Amino acid sequence: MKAVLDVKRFDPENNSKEYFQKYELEVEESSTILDALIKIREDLDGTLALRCSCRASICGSCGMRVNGSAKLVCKTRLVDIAPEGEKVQVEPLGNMPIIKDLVVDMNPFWNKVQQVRPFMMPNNTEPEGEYIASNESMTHLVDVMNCIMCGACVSDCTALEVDESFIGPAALAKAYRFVADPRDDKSKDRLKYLNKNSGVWDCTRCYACVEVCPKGVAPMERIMKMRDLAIEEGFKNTSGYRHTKSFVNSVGKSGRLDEARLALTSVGFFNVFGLIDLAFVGLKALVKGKLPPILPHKARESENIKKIVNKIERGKG
Amino acid sequence: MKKYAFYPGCVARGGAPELYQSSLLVLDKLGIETIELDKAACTGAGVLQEKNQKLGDVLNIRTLAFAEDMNLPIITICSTCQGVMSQANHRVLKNPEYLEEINSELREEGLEYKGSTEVKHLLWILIEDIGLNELQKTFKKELKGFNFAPFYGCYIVRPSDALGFSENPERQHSLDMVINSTGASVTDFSGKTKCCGFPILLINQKNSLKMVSNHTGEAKDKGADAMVTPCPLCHLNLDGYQGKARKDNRGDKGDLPIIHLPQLLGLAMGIEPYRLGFARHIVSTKDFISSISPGERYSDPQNFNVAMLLGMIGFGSLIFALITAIAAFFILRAILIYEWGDNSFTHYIDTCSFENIFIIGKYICSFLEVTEKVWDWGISILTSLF
Repeated sequence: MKAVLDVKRFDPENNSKEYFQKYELEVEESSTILDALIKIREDLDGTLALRCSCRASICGSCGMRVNGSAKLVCKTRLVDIAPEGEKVQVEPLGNMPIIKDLVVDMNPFWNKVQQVRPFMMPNNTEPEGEYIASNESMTHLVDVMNCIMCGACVSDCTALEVDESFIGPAALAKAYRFVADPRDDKSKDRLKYLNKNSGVWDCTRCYACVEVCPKGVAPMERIMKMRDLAIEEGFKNTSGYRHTKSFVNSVGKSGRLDEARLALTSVGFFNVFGLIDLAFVGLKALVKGKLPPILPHKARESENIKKIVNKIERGKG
Repeated sequence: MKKYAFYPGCVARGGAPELYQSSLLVLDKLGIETIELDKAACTGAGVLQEKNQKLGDVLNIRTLAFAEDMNLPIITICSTCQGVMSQANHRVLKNPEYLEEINSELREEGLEYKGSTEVKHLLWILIEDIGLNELQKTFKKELKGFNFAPFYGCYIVRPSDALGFSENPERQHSLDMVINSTGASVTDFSGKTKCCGFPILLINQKNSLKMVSNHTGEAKDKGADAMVTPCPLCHLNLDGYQGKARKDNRGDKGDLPIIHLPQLLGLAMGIEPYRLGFARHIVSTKDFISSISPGERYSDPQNFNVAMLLGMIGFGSLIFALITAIAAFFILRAILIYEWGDNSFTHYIDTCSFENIFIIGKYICSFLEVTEKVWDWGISILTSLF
């Protein structure tokens, strides 16, 4: 079948600018994008730089952006992306500096993984035989352990795009792997660290990492779990905690979201600058007639909702 | 005539009332009959789910069960509600044991969900249930020459397995398709399926506003006349904070109108702009509207006056309270000096040392806590009255 690849080229050593180069070639029906890229490098253009190794989605080397979203190109068949031989855009991963063409510098990625101390830290001395952990306590970690560090989630993370200090989905998923491991004794310290700025609360919950992960790690869901665990450990002095708590209270009270109150409580009643800032926004909204109602709308028969919220929240402890 | 159970969502009934009012007008023109799900709870918008996923799922499955009882599919006008409900539905449908667990919580209210409710955003209904050809028959005005940037946001495109993208692949481009059907052009830009920043607005405002600035700035640079979004939460952030975001990050003015999907449809259907609530935007839509519908009524004076009146009453009472407090302070002070002489309480206040400030601060704090309680009581009393 015919394949048309529009590949982003960049060679800083020769001081070139970024540009797209179009390659047309014949490939097998079963070809992956990686097969096509290797064919380009071998038959058409030896200057094209790309990183790959196992060709079986195990090594995590060939993460790239295909038509704007990150993928393992060895796992992506051309026929699924462009059945009619449409043009396929291939770019290097995002949120990382480009070394050449499709090869990115993974150092920022690894630095962040190291930042979360990705190793077991038990308090006790080493046991004679092996650490014993029950099946149930480990099986839910299997998906996180599947991570092959390909960088797809980091590439498409929308929070990282505006703030490079954010720890990011891959490293946070790795952190969860140890936070939730029963053999690790430093969970509380880990959560304390992750509860600070650039940690779990800076995730925007946009699902980009869940969507692009080729291994089903679902980093965002792990981050959400760690928010809850941090609250359970008693780290409550965050806007994030106040926001969540206020949200649950509001739904419990009226069945609906009381936006005005949510904003007030999240900013915090003692955060004077935050409140002044909010007052300006509120005033603008008031003048335009879009201030949320001061008396929140109630759902009909909201007592039933209240009952459910109380029961399930209490059941959780 | 098509019939749906209508789930407007909290923001359409709160911070973005223009979405609700324009939706009702547009649904009417489309010949869609709706019954509003007024007993349904907030979907939790993902926030509730991060604290307690089961609670979120119970509340959403409850909503789906209401619609199932009426034998109607659900129509939403909020991407976030759509996404969160689709996810809950997806979770229970692939796990019958979990569905049973959720149902056991709902039985007390006499509800049981069997798994048949379809949840669809207006955007999808336009394409799948009505069809773009039928839609175009309701249009009276061609919007040729205008450029609209589609802003999907997150919850209507991800996670794609919960949103049925494999069965309905056109959902990925639905907003582009609807914009094209009005005769207008689509301004393609890289931020169209990225996060608007709203979920972290109250947690990390700096990052949130960078996102607002990036998206609106890029669309503006690429020649968009306005941005269209199916998500009122994206609207709140992109519209409400655009001025500050653009000034802080790009040094220019926030001037890109962020319009709701039903407002776009309403314009194409020839509904007068004032009835679509265009005056209720923070980023002015005045120039945009006068270029689309020159000479037509734009502002909604009734609503404006009510807002101004409320504002004046609020501001007036604030000033009054301040003056009263200052006066009371001086009167009290004068009385105390007259009664006890200079060495008493007044002296204590006048020569306030650091420790004293600390004590006073503590009083203020406890006062604020009391105020919060009073606010709660007030709200519960007033809401039970109305």
